[in-house]
Amino acid sequence: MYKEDLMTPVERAQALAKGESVDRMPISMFYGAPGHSLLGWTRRQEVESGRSLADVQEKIYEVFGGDGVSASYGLHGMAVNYGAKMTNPEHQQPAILEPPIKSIADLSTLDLDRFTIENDPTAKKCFDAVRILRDEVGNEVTCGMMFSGAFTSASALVGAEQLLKALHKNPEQVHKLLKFTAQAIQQMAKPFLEEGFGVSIADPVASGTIITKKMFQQFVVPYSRKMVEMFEVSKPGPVLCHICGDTTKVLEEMVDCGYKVLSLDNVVDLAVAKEKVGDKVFLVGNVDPIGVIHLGTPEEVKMAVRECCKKAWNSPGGFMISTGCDSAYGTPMENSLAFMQEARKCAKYPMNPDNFQ
Amino acid sequence: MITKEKYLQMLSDNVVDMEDELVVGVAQEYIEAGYPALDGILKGLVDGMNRAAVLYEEEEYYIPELLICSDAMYNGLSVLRPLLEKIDAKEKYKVVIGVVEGDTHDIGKNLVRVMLEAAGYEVYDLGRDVPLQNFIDKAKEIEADVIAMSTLMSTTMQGMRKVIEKLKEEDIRDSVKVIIGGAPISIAFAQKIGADGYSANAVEAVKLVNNLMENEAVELGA
Repeated sequence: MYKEDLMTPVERAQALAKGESVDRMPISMFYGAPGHSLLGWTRRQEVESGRSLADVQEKIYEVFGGDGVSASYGLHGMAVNYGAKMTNPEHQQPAILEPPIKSIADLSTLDLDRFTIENDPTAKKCFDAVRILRDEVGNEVTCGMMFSGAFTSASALVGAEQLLKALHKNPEQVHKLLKFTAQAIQQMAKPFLEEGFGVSIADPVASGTIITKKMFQQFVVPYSRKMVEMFEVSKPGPVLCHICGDTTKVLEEMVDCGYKVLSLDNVVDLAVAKEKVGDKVFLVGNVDPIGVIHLGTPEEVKMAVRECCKKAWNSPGGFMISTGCDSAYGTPMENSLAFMQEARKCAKYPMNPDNFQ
Repeated sequence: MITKEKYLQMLSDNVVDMEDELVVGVAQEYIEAGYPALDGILKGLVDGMNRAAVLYEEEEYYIPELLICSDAMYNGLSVLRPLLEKIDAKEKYKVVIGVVEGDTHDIGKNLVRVMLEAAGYEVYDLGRDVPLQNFIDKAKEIEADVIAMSTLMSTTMQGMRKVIEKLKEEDIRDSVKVIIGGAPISIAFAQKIGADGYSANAVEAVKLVNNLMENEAVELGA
């Protein structure tokens, strides 16, 4: 158990589910990109196997004591499976150099069989990782799995620019592609769900900064809803969704997708989100991981944590303090620790404004 | 017979209405009817792109729409540009633009380029994943007025700082304005690394450069 806590995340979650009191409310901090550096590793070492993925998660839990560990399929997972040309930087996040499907007009190579735990190397590693985590730390902390959404996966397969233009120029093919990516994700998620792992979705390309509300309704909501419905059949846990950028105008639509937990980017005003959808969903967020945690001082980080709590602590559907997106590689350790320290203080049970005045 | 004004309207509409294929035929007809290429570009295609920018500001258009409008403009330009009458246009301000080393996401940069071109700037596009020294070399070579750098990734932001440091080392920092943009970038970061400006999107970028260049003119005139 983390030295400053009185309960483990599992004990805390169980007590809250029974309506009992706890030491503090759950807290979270995205720490995907810098995780490997805690072990003095490169990113390439981290992604070598399920074992190495789990090692990094265990280290993150040991250092920060957040209320969850996870494995992540990554935003480019489906492209990797399709043999996309990728960058492979030592420490930083990889990027797609050439999307694997050249023309969205020709989707004949789509093949669902590629996207199973057995055939998809990234999903396989993640599956190994979550099982190791469950066996080794599962009595203390819950392990989840994050997939990318259907829209973001489609973008990985055909490239963002091609996908976005096709929304107007070739909508039938976009629908065909989205139907496929949604099915592929469901297929890969199934074994995780069957073993009791919660599944979350990251869909950054479906950002309100990139596409209109109308496009979101047409191309994001229906496929997300199908996925969430399927997830909920296997495991009735709340499904979290994170979308980057300004989603203020599509918050209701994110709720329409069926997501029960919205993890919001820092450009979204939590007060507005609380007002618009706070009664329908649980909100998570949203300290700026770049401007504040990467580039600011520990004091600025703490102030930002308090600001978020002030805005959303009493959101009717619930609230958890977190970062607005993933932390950056190279974020000063004292800032990440300051985030967690202040988050612990603000989340002290019962959460109330005295905690963050 | 279709009047010149009508053609210009059609060219402009083709761009703003995302008719990236139709525009080619209209541009050809326009030329065949004997009208000047320059007007077709400025009062037709560029006008359409500027209208698209207004729709973006009004939140009617987002990224997919701007991408297709920009395709339409470039498709039209590929017909009209080769026929451009040699005219002694007044010297344009020159902009070097690129996505900094380590990052390959270039949709935003491409939109800034098209908007700057539509606004009359001469843009030298270095592409994506651009080695930092290339920004400096190109700026020197063409005597650029502006260096515009973009990145989507937090991990590559620091490259922007390095370019500014290199400009200082080479003693040319004062002769060029540096602007930056991209998802993780903020005005605070721009100030921190000593850039001259930041803009949140492609339309804002044009206003930013306009402002910087106006001030430049004032400074020069003073």
